[in-house]
Amino acid sequence: MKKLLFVIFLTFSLSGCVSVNPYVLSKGQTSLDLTNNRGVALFTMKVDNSGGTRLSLLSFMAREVNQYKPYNTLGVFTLPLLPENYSTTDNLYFCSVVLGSGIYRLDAFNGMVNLFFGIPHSLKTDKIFDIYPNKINYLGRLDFGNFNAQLPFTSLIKIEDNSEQEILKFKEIFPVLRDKQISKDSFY
Amino acid sequence: MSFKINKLCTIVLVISLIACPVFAAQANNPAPEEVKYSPKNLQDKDAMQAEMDFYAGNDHEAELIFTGLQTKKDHNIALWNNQLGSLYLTQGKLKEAKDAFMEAYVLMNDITAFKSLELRSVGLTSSEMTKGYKGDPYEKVFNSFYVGILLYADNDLENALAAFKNGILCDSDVTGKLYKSDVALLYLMATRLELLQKNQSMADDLFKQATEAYYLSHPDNRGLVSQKQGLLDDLDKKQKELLDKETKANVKLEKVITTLKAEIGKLEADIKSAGDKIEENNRKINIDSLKDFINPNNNTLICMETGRGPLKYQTGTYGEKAVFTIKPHPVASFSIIIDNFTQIKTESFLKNNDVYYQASTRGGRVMDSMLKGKAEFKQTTQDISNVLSTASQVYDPYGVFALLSFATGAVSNATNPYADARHWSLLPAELQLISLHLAPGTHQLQINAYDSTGKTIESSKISVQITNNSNNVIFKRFRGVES
Repeated sequence: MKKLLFVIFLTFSLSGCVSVNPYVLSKGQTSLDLTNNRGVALFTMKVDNSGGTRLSLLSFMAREVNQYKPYNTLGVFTLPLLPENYSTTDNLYFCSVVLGSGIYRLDAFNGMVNLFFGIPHSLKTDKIFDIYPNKINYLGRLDFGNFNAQLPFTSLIKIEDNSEQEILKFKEIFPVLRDKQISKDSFY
Repeated sequence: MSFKINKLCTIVLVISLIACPVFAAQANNPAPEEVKYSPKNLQDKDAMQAEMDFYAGNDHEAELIFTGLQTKKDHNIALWNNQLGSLYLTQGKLKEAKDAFMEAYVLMNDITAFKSLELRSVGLTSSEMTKGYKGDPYEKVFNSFYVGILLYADNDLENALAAFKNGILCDSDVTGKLYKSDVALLYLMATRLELLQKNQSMADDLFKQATEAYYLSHPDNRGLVSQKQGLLDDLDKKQKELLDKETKANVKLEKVITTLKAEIGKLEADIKSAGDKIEENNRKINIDSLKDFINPNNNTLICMETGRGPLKYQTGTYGEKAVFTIKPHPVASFSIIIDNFTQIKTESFLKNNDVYYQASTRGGRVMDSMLKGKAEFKQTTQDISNVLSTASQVYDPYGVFALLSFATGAVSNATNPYADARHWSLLPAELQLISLHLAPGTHQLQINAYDSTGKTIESSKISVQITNNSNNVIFKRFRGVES
């Protein structure tokens, strides 16, 4: 019985480690299915986290914006930030969203200030972006400036276009993008 | 000879016997595209795909979806017609665009249309989305503009003028006094039509109003107009408060009345100061493009549509608020080269016909306070349900608290405070127009689009046929999808 419980526990634990989220790109991904009007949005995020208190970002949230659907049926997507999303050399998070074509609102990046005590912290974004069918678009860099743990949330300061360097870096991090054409678009 | 005819008949018969079942099979099995976009298989939510297809340049797919939805003739028919109208304009199908806009125009301006649906949507559990779509004032304004300009292109000047005047009337249906009737374009088109019909005095009057509207909505004045509108709203509130206090006048209120009078005096001074600054700005604003635009000798109107119109979406805890935002678009100005020779420079264009500005200055609606009330009710019933649920876990021998908690929770869940975010999303962000005189015949136009730094970002060539008798109207859409 103990052995059976141990196997069940191990299966659950490991399934979490190897699970693939279909809404984000991953490092080991070998193919990208953009049929059924799916598209990709790429953007980077910068927060100066060099102070005493460290912010560990875990996920970001995207909400569907669709004027033709009742509000309570709109999709809400919590997308994980994987280790490959963070580049220590650039001090940037390289984020991807793979969703059906449509309009989405990037709500916030969520994480914890102190992993041991689990104090939640949000980086409020509230920016709209588009996903076009069968297209991969780079949207820009979200800059949150200095992180302040005293505040309940940190607000977005500016959005910059760093497409030239960052598209190359995206291709480096996610090999599946290497032979794909990446266009430029913007948040609004 | 007869043998040859018999042989020929036999061949035709054999071919038709083989071919008929093939064609019959094709007739019975329509193309998968037709099945996919048939009205029976389309749902309102599919319109989002059409919207994205339009902005990605897949006009064919967008047209199939919007046409399928329009065929259903449901409570959103005016919305589907407006979307289709914009799509047809982009494709240069002016007749189809006019028909679509006209159908929407009739419904959007009919107070009695979908009355029963409107009454039902006010209920606590009903959604505002179930109302018949009639559009916000800014949508009515631009629908009237398109109907007017397309009727003008058909030489139906009287009906065109009626459409422009209807647009001016729709623009007065906003909360802020200063934002009323500030769409200069409608006044200018009406002026042009009055001049074409030799009504000089009417034209003079309309041009004066066009100039005032142009000044008020000019980007240099927008901040000041907003500030003045805020001061006017405050003044209105204070004056009402003063009147109320004065009717109940007693010794205790004397101090309050004196303070209110001082505040009103300060507000009036601030309003005058804001007005003076607007006047000062007006003297610097060049209105030559307005004068050129109404010149009746110019037989051709070129209308550039840039970017993507305002996006309306829900916010608030329960999505009870509808707000607007706009996607930045790179095109800032245009130039036109006619027949590789004459160049029309960017400063000649009539600019600042900003759709987002019109959308975002409409003010509040009666429905907004209803939705706010519904959201508060939903929150309160949810809170009560939570308290009762907690109480039932502490002491509830007969299950009364649990039952009440369930009942209030159910009422909270059934309450529908979601704001209606339906809007005409295929509208452009801005319209830039120019009126020109072109000799009858075929002309080649090279239209260059520039960004704010003056860099050419798009260039397109179109061939236009100019007729002598009619009022020529040319539309060109720059959708603003960067690549």
